[in-house]
Amino acid sequence: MKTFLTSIFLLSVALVAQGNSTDSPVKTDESKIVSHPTLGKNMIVDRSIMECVYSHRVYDPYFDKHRTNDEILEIGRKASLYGFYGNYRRDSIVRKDYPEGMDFNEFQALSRKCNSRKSTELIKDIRSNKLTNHEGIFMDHYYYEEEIPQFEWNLNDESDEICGQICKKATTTFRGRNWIAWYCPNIQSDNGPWKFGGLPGLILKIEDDKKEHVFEAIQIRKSDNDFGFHIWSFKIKTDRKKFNKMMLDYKMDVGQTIAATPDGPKFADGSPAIPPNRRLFYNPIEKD
Amino acid sequence: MLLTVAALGCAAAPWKRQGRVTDTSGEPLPGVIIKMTDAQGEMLAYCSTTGNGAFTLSHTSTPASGSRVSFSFLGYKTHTVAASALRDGTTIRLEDAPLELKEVVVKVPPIKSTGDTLTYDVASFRSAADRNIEDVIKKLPGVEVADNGRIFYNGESINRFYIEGLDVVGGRYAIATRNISPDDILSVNVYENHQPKRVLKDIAFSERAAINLKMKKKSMLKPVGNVKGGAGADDNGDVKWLGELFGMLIAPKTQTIITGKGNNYGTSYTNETASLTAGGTGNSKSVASELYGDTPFGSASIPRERYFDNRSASASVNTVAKFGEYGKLGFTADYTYENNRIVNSEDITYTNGDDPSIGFHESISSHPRSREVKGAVNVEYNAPKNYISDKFSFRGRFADNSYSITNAGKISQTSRTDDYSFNNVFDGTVRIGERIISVKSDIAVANTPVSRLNAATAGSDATALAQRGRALRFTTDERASYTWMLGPYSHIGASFRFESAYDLFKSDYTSETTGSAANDVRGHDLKITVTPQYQYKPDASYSLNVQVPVSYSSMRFDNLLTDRKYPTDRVDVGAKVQFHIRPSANFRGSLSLGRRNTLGGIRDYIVNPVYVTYRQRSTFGTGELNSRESYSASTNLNYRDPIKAFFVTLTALYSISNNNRISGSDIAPGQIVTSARNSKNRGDMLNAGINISKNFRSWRTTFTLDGHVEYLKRRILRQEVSYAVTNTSYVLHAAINSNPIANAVDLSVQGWYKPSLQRISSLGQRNRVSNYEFQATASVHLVKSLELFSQLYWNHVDLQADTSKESLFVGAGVRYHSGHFDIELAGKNLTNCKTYGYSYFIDSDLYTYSFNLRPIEFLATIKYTF
Repeated sequence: MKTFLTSIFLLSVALVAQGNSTDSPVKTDESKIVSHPTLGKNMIVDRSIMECVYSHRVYDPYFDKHRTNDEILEIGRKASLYGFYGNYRRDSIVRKDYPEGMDFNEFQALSRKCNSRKSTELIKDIRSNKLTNHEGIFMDHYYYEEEIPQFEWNLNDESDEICGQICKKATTTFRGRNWIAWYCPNIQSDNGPWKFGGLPGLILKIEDDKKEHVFEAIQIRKSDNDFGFHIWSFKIKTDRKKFNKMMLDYKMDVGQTIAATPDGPKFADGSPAIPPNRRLFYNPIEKD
Repeated sequence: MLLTVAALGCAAAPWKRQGRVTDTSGEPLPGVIIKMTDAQGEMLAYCSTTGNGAFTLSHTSTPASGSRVSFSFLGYKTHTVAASALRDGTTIRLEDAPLELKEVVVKVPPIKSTGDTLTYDVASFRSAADRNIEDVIKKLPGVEVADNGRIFYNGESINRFYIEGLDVVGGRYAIATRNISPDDILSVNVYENHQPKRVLKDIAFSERAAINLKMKKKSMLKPVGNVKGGAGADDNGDVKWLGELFGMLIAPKTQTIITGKGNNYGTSYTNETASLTAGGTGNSKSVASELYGDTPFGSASIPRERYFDNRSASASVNTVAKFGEYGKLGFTADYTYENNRIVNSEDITYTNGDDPSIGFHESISSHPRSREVKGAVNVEYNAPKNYISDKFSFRGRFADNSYSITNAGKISQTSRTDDYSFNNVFDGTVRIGERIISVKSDIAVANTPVSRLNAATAGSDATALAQRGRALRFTTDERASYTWMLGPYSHIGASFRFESAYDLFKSDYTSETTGSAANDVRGHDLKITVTPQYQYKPDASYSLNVQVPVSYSSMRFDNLLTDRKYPTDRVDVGAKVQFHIRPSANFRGSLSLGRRNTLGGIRDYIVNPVYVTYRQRSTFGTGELNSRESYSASTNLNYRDPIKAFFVTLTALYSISNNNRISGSDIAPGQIVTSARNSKNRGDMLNAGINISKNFRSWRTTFTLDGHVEYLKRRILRQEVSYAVTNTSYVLHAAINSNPIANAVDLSVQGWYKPSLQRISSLGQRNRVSNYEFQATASVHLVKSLELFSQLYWNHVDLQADTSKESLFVGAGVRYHSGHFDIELAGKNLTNCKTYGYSYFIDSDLYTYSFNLRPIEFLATIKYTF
């Protein structure tokens, strides 16, 4: 009976995963795993030498609304990590001030105060030229790999001051959007926010021509911290296009997505408690 | 120079070098930036090292001598070689070096531009001397605030005022701006070209902006406000008092603002409850609604608080609640009471053709009193695909004024007006695929059941003048429009408008000098307008909009006293072309050309005189429908650079109108009769202005310079003879607002130069009056909790007969702040200025006024802020 129920459970989760062929664990090196009673396990990828905090402003034309999140790029010599700044702040406080762990309510209150969100880590490993995106949809955790994108940049002589640094302009088209970037030649890193990079200087500002996504640096500082991705007990491997499709489906109709899972809230008669056609604020960065 | 390069793996080119980069231990370094520059430092090519430290650097041709290749990476010393020395297969070793990085934290910029939204950071502009958010808004570059509280952005008044995205005050935003503390506001957003209806976003262009106040988190979700009480006295020993309450609760889904105020210290509250945006509460008026003004014998160009002896009170409730994602329900209610006394004299020089001018002098003691009740309920659903709104409003105003006039004799005049209006506006717009359908219905009733004017000679029991009047106006305005998107760039459509009005006006008077006269006119006016339109908007940089309204008007008015009927049936064709450009994010402009025909109404058939003051009668109509055909051209150009805080606005309007009547007056000692005559009358008008403002962040100072000219030329009648009159008035204004020592010193200095010219060529008359004004306010915080403040106002006016007058007002005070309390002692008119005088032209006549001012007065107040 137990075996039967376990099989049914695994089968329904597989249906939720929507066509991902393999559910394989993330490759980890045990020697680089750090654990914390509250934060769980993290796989350390590199040690940062500088950090850049970006303000990421998103516009959703359906709701005619803007939202702004602070995100952080941690740059090491071999890799970099891009994620939510609220999570960075919360985790830093927890590691430093609560090495023995903290209770759930305290952790929730601190998460709200730091404005932290669902864990998302985008890692560029320049040794292997691989980009790995670790991200969750509802209660499931996914990751996909791709090669670090190559950009065809048009450089321009225009200059401007961004975050106190003199920057130069470059433009490109990437996955359905036209992008305008401002990079700082004085910061010798070819990195940038999210998947962007490939310019002779750190990208301090990049926006699409419709200004639906605007990343702008608000803080640049030296650092000396380990960074890595969170190890979940169950992570599903997928690919970029499938993941983007799943995310879009989820945001367009969250009720439909979670109704398919055994974890979705339900009424006593078993019908889904989330109303249909409930659309969430969302505008994908890459459109194809 | 445009340089197109693909990083890593560049296509094969005449010049190419490959190699590796490692650290000093031989470990490959990925991500190293390799740049080739010419002798002048211009970049020729670049690439980065791969995961194993390899690089391939290419260029279209062999680099010229002097070119250099640099290898740089965070935490390593940059290595540079001559391009000519770089060989294939080279291994470059980079040495460790301390990371040199200019660490930067960006503070909130004072002005931030994101698309069509400008965000002004309040903390960057406010000073400790600012009492309310209006004081801060006045300092924002690009924004102007008029004396009545109306806010202008780039020369146009704003079309909406929001607090956290909700319109709680229904257009009466002075209630908010004059009472909300800057301590509660995080930033002021300006939504440029704001289209309030989501369904029309990017379809219907709006030239106006909207303002939104963003609250600080600490001021939300709980009541905030203040209670204030004060007492004092003036030079005559009269007691002065003040009591005010302001409360506000702002939450994401509900907002409430309440006020309750009263004073006799000079502050009037009528502007706070007046609608400052279009479509305000109860705008319908009958012919008799404003037949007798509150100040028919002149008003001064200085603030009323200097010369009105007032007793004022007001109360207002404003609330709005969101339902669902897009719905809102709002309710507002106001009551205002005004009981004022004004003492002034007026000297009028009436042009009398070739004969000597007629002069007239009188002294007046006015006692206007009024009560006003207003209310409105508004339901709105504003979604991306559809918009529905219904607003019902009510307004009742009861004015009871008395005047004591001394000229050759002594006369007392009283007037009474009771006026009610109801108004319901329904507005619906829906988008179905490529089509937009819009319906609007506006129904209004304005009733003036009481409109009385009486005059009596002092010392006599007989009534010199008794006039009664009443009026009713019922209007409907139904509109529907259909728009079809032809593609991504253009749409065509048509709007249909049906307007109807029923008007009634009755009056009769008996005068011991002019006999008696009566009017009883009523009738209806129907108008159907069909407006085809076309809009072309290929992108955000320009758009063209063309409209051709065709209207059919049918009027039927009857004079019941003479049994005469006035039927009119008429077709008119207009045109309107608008062109908008926005070549860059910082510059935008518009040009409008138009032709329109405006027809009169019931007033044209009121052919017997009506008294408007004890000595002035007006005959509104000639018995023929007034028709005015006008052609206009207007432009609005503005440039704004929010990073440099520099704003420039240029506006100009020129219009030519051809009217079928001339208005004028017949002057006799003690009597003025204004009337009109059927005759062709061309009028030219030019209205132009420029406004430049620049904020210097490091000095915490904003400079503003603006100029304005108004030119008006038309014909008027005087003593039955027609004259061409030209009036030109200029205003030159400069202002400096500075907070040079943050929160310690706050200064504001303004100057105006206002010359006015009047010319009647046929009489060889050329007259000029000039007005100079200077105003300065200063506030000094000796310590954080103690503030000394003062205001100075000086003006110099030219009066008639080569005389001039100067006035100097000075006010000062001290304020102590401790915790939630503010204790203030202030004095006004410390120079004990007794009178204020000024002159100006109305048509061909020169009016000179002298007003008695409020005496020296002091008031001590305590304010508690919660």
